Amino acid sequence: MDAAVSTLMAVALASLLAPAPAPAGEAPEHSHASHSVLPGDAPASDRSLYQLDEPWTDANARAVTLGSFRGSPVLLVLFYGTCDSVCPVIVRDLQKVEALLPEADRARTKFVLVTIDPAVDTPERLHEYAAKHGLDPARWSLLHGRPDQVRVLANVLGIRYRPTGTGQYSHTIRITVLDRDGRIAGHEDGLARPLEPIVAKVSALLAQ
Amino acid sequence: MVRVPGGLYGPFQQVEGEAPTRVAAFWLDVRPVTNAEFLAFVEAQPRWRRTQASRLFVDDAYLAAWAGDLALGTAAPPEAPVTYVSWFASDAYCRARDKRLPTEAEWELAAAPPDEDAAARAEAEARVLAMSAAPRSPLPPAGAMPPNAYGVRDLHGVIWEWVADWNASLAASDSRRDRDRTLEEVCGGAAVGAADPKRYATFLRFAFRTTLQATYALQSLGFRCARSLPWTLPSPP
Repeated sequence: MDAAVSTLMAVALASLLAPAPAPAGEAPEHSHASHSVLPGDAPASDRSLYQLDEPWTDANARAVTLGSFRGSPVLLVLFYGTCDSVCPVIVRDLQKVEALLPEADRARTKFVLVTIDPAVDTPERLHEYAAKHGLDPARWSLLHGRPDQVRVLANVLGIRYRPTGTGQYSHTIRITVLDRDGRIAGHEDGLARPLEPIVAKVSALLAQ
Repeated sequence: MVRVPGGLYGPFQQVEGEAPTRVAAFWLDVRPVTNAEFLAFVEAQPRWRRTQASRLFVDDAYLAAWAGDLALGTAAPPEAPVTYVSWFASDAYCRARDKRLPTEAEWELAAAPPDEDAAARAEAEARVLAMSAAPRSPLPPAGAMPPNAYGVRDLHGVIWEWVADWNASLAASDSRRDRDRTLEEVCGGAAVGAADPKRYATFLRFAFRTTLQATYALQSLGFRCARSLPWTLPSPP
């Protein structure tokens, strides 16, 4: 947290946020102005992650809200670009899921990677990462946010992480599946897990 | 708030190869946030009232000690620390005041002034152990404990407190989960152990943090806020 925090409005959950500009070329969402006050819009039982309506920056330097993924099942992972051991395996696992999905389902599924190291993984770096790993921007979004914003998302997902002080992180290894309304539909932890259950879950969410 | 000097924080929970963190000086609330203060917050922010708060951000025990959305009742004295608040609610409260939660490093630095004598340290540890064994109910007014060398009160033996990065506490297993999390699932967690097992109260705090989820609202868990420098303490009117 630095001095810039003091110039920001109260952020995260309890704040009224300025509407994010709609990314060019995407279908416009419902106006943020109409739901900038949550009471009545967000009943206590609402478990959609799309209540987190602060914008992120994607690998193309565009403002993106999580709610822009509404309508698609989402496979969501927290990662960092300089992770040299586990994260590449998780990304490969996601790519395997992508390949295993039937073509029609694949086209309607989103793969979202959020960096826990925003100081290093700038949008430019994320762009390089996506290109290096051949991540199709039609389906893959790599997101950059403020450290506190990432912390909130991690806490919603139940994911832990800590910097080791040498640029690396210890972190929960998890793929979270969101349904088409942004609610957590399940998650898979750890490495060397079978991927078919994830594929099946995504297809089931699309069939609903 | 008081200004806490910075320092080097060697995490109590040592992960193999982990380097100490340099912590900059910061402002810290002298005492935990009270029921009265939190009531003013939810009066202004209906989405954080007990019956309206999203279950993404609180669990069913949120503000359980209160009599109602906007009524404290006899189990929640106005000047006592507010408890039964989730991390999300605590974080939102601090941000609404242009503050933030302290980090684990900041909190632990504030709780262990270097020139504190061994007797004071031992007495603080004893209070934490007593609190862990038998949480106090109802809680005394916030700020009732004498200040430590930094002028901060109530860090030991009143309540447990949320920190901004509580979820940086990792463990090889977590008894609150329905299954153990293996080290395989924690990228980079080669060897996790306590730096000084004799500091049992500190160990308790760390162990406690590993059992938490951000939505948890617990009887003995409250919070206080911090603020980064540069910032000038407002002059009294």
